[in-house]
Amino acid sequence: MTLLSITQLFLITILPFASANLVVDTCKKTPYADFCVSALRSDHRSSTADTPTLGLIMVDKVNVNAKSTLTEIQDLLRKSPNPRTKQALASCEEGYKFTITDLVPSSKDSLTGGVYKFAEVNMNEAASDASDCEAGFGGKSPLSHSNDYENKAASVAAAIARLLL
Amino acid sequence: MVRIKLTTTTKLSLPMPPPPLPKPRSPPPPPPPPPPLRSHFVGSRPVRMRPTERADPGPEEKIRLLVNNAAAVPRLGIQGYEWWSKALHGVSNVGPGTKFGGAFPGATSFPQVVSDEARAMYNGGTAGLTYWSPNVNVFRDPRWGPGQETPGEDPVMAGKYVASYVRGLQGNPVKRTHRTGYHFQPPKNWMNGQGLYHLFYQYNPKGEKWGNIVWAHSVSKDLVNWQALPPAIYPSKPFDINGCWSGSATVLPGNRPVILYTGWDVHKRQVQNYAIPANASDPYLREWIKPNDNPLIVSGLGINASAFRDPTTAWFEGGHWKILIGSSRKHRGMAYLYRSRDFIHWIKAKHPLHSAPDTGMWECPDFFPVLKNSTNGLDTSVLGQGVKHVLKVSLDLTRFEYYTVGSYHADEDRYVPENTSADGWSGLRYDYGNFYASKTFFDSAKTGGSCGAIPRKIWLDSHGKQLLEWPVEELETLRGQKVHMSSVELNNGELVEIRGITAAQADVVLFSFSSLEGAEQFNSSWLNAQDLCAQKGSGVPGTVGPFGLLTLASEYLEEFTPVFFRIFKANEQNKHKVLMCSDARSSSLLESKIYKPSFAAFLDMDSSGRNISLRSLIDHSVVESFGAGGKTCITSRVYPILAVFNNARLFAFNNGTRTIMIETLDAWSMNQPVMNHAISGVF
Repeated sequence: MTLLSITQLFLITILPFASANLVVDTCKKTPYADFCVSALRSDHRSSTADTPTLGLIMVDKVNVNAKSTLTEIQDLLRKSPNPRTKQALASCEEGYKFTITDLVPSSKDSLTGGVYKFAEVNMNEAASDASDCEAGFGGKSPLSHSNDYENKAASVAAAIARLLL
Repeated sequence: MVRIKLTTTTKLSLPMPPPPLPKPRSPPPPPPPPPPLRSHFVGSRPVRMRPTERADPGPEEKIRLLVNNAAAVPRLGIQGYEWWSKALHGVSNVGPGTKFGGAFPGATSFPQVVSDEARAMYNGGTAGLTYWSPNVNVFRDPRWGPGQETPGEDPVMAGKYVASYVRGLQGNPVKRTHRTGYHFQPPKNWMNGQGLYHLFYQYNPKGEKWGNIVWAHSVSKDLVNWQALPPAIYPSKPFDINGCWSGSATVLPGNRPVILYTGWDVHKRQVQNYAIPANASDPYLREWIKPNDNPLIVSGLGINASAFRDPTTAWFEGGHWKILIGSSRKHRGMAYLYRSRDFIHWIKAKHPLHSAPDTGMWECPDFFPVLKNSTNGLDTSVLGQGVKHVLKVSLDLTRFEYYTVGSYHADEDRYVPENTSADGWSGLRYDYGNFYASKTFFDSAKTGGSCGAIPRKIWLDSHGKQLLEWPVEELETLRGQKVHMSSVELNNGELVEIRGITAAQADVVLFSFSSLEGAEQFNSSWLNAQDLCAQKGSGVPGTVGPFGLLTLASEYLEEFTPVFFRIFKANEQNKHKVLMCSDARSSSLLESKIYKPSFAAFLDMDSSGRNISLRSLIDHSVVESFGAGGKTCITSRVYPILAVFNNARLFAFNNGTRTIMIETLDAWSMNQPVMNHAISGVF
């Protein structure tokens, strides 16, 4: 091997670590660091992402989870549960719908457009909607896993947006 | 300060002897027989006269009916009556002379409130139906001078006293001193149908505390003179039995008005109902019916039924009627959108038209198009290239409203405010003073208007970033006596009185200055205009300003409500910042229970600017001011006790070192419009 190719080999090994460090460094400053790292790494974009893009990746996670949770909720509603559960589910449905139609799109615009404070406010709201949904069941929630994921993902997204302010 | 004293002299002279009657040429024709008596309320049957033999009292009976203590007439079933209820020196207990004590130990000496006293005594069971009032005999006896028990020999004074007395006896639920002359109290909704403007407003017929709300209704041909009608909508069905709250009117094709309103239903939920005229051919639209397919819209499980109200006027787009309903999700204000093909069956859109975090509940949303580069108004359904939209919301949390200018993306049913429109508590307002829950209306015969204390015309300014407002032209029909001034200098510390007018409307005062050089520097930490006005009131010296008007001022300035400007050098290049203030803190000697805020707002100005205009509509207890041609409007409600009626004065002032010139000032006395009198013969 020539000197040039050793240098190339060396460079090739350094570059990914720079981004990997950004993921780790960023996630350290969020409330759920481990969750943050594994969620971001599951998306191939994270290896070359800058901080706003890491935020966008996280918002995508929020979105995907919200959509699947919404489907779950609508399935549960069709099963005609008791009034109290129905009320809680309906409230969750409103919350997740709003996250999908409003909070996610405006957070994405905010992260791509550079006015980062909207992303922070909206993702915090999505997180709190998820915990309100959970609380509405008074302990016996059929959506615990989904709500928990949503809460974590949105909180992390909000924290990333905050780093940009 | 120069003051001119008014004096009148009454000349007494003997009357001329009457001229001799002319001789008639031929005997006059016999008078036609009188028409039979008819009664309005009983239809066309003539009223019968009693048989004369039955009505004629004998001499004993006649004598007993003389003087103040009329005896009873048992054969006709008439009770006795004491006529001597004396209101000359305050209302008397029934009986001869002025008598107090017991439940009513005092008397009023203010003719304006005689009726209050009479009503109180009547309720207490000690008053009659009649009151002796001061006689109006403007005479002077050669033996002892002015007549007693009359207001005196000065006809001007006597005339005013009597007018006041009569009004006092007629009764007045609002303290006469503070009752406005040409301003209407909080309006909520407008509609123009068949040449009449209809005004609906929230009213509690049972008193001042909020509750039992109905839709009061008044009509006008000219937005200035108003006549009261019976309430259009009042609680009567399960879907509104606890209150008929705000809403809107929409005129459907074929000139069919329909009202959408929030009812507080039997379960105390906020639901949206509709009402239609009972008789479409009645131009007064007096009666409204509420069909049984109400409520049309309920909040459903996901929305808080205590935060779901105030449906807007509908617009038609994409084959659907669309409306907004104000709401909130936790701290986020929301405008939910509902669609319908037939105005009866409504479906909630997948997402709200717009929302904003941390603004709290959005009440009375108002959403309407405005033309760019034009002062003409638009029908709510208009869309297109030259059109922007305005979304106004009233914030329940802070009790003021704000608006944004933006774009309506009809295909997605989304509204996006311009980034120059702050979307929250620091947003633009229709009025920076006492102003809440206003509603706009569109009138095809004229430019669009906004309601408030006086109807205002509104349009988008040429930069497209904010609305301008100006009182409707029709108000000018009330103008009476005029005073004109021009090129009057106001040096530091000077006051100039604007005399010769009462209940003034000081109109389009143009203040100018030689330059803005040396104006105080604006401090970027000054974010709140109202706080800044409180720190830098009209008495605090400055450079360019403070200058403006002292309205509702008492003679020695114990009371005054200043409306003024103070100009600062802004931090941006070539820009100055103007603070416009309408400061109620010195408005009244009444003790501090009264809310006396120092309302204010900021305006931008080019550094090359050399003048600024101010228009103030002053009306007893309201001062409504328009700065810089309508860029900034501030309404103040004040309750002076000295600066009332003819004792209220108007001054222009300058407390800044830069000389200010009143370029032109026109001021008018305002005449009384017809304000909310019932239409006779209609009921």
